[in-house]
Amino acid sequence: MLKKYLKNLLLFFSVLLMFFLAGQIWFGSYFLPDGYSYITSSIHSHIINPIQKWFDKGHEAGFSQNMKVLLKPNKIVLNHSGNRVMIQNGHPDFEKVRSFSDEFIYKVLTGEYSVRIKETISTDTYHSLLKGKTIYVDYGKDCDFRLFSSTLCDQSSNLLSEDISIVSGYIIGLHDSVMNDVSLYITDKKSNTAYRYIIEMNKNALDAQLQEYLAGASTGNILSYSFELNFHKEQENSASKVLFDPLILLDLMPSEIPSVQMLGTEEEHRSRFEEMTEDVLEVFSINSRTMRRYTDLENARVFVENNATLTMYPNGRLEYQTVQGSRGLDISNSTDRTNYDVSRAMADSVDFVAALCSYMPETYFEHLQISSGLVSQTERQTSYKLSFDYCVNGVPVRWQTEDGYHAAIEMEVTEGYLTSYRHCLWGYKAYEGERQQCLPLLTAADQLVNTLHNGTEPLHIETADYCYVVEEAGAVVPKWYGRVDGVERIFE
Amino acid sequence: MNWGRAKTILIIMFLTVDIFLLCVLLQTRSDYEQLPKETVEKTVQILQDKGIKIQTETVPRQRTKNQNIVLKNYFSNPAQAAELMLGICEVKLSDDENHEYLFENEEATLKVKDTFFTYTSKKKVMPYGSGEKTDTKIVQENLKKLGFKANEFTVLQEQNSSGLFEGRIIPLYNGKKICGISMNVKADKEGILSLEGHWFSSAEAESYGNEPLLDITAVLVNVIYRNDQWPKSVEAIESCFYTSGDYLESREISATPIYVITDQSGHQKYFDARVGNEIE
Repeated sequence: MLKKYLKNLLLFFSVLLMFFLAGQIWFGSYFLPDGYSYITSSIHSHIINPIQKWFDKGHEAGFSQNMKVLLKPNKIVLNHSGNRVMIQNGHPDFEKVRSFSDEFIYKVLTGEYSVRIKETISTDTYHSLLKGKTIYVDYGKDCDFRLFSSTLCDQSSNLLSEDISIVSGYIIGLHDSVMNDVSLYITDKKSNTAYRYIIEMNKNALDAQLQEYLAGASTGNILSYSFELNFHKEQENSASKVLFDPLILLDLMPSEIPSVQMLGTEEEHRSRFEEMTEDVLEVFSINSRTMRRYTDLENARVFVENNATLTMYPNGRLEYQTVQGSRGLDISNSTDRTNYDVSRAMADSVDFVAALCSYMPETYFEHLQISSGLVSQTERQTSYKLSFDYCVNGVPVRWQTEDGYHAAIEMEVTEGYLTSYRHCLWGYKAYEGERQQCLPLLTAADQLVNTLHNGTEPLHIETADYCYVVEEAGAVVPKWYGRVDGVERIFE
Repeated sequence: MNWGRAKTILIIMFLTVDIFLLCVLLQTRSDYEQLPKETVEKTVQILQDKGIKIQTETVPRQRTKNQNIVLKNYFSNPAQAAELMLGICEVKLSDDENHEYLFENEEATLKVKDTFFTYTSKKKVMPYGSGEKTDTKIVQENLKKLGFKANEFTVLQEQNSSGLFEGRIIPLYNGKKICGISMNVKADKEGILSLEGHWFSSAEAESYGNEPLLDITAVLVNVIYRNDQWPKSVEAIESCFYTSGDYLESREISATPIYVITDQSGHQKYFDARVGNEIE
């Protein structure tokens, strides 16, 4: 009996051993030099990845889709019958109002709504419109119209292209006349000409929609444009120390915004940072096996390539800098470098940022917003400095370092080559239960005057918005940021 | 049907097949781990035809693994290093901002600036007498006493200078030298007098098993295309690791595989074992 069992056992093990040895020879053989990884990588590249792409509707959806996420209005101001409300990203109605205004401009740009009359209007008329029934969509930055149009309707040229070169926002006007039409007002920032396009459409439906939004979004605070308070021009009887852009909204009362804290613990961020190292190196085309990598005494990991250095700091910051004289990392989608304009620079940059963010939690990319102006300063410009803010409820989070305040992503692209890149990978979230008070802009401007005013020329505040500042010690405090006399500043 | 006999036949059959497969597997592995003799002979022949003197035995046939060695700086935590080298000691200077430290006890002092260290013994100097041969073992024993693991270093270029042992110590990983890091040692016949330089200990190896290194034969064949006519003769070939001297002030660095070729005058050149380029 025992002999029978032993024979069975021996037979079983000899068969098993045969399969094991055959497997070892096969997978370690000449035919499959990479062994099992050949099979798994083949399955991934030929089966899993194509299927995944079908279901992946995230930020790898292409330039136009990514731009729709990254280029959102800074604020939308609704005005109707003396009631005025400012809606920013994070407001419960923001997406509803944004898609409503996007749909309107989409239909105008694609010709679905026909333009009956086009006329130029004065700047004062443009401003006075904002007191009537209007929806003012403000992007807070100058944007090349072709890029703006591509983002909104996938067409770089359309009916408005011959008038508009640079745009920073538009107004949908429902004037009080008996005519059942709607007007679109856009100022070309290049020529400083304001245009009115009278659109053929049912005004009443739009009017009802606007009233509905206003009813749900009222905040109680009274907002005034600076032109309404005459803060946009010098007064005849008294010298002004500070002037505001006419379209800056001033809230005379202190307001409160939610407190912001880091998303997860520092430790969690560090371990995620560690995990994505290989992926980051791949995006920057850096050989992880090089001998020229080290961890410095401050625990920053440095990867040195012939033409650039990538540094990953323990505080979640990533820095890529090419060496002087080197072209940098090729991030261009095309080999043709002629006529490298802002649209192409933006397309390359957005694809690059999206590729890097695909290795991060999905919500990170959704929090990003383009913060730099999207215009070419000169015809021959080939180098662009672009920045992206990490926003919490539409409010950007800026990082304070020894050399100033920084957006989440700051990059420089020259003719399709990435020459410098700085990225803070940590995420933040708002705590609605905990709120922090913000000084009114007028109070903040007073303090700015005390610091900057030279006693002669008035300061000119061109833009002003709230932001969160992550101080060097780690605390997150709300402050004002804006452009003062052409220089980006943070003030409180 | 006699199942018992059938099973016996099957067992014999399968065991025979198993033995055959095992032989094939071992042969394949052996071929993979060693360079074919014919390849080495042909390479040697090519070099000799070009006037480079080389013996078949000089070329190592053993293939080496493709791996990076992660090295941790011994002096990134100076207090810990001082405890290992001096034992109980007094902290004379601890400047974290400038990364400058000084530790002392009755027997020795240890100074660390950035990550460069200087160990100086306070013992009375006992030089070797004239004609007396310097002893490497004394240095090795004393290095062990200072906390350096015996299998992690080797002593090179030893010489007798005015009765004192002078040499260079470099780290090892699995018996292979790690070039680019070294410390200089001075010793008398009783022990170490001074030790200075940079030192790293190996923390881990990152293996890239699926991507074999370039064979040494490929590197050797490339030598014939050099413009500087180097070498006239190949005296030794060694498989080592290398890290650049530029990164010695770091907390952690990595060493990559190289081939070291030594010529007739003892001059060495390093070649990247992954791409075959000479490392300047």
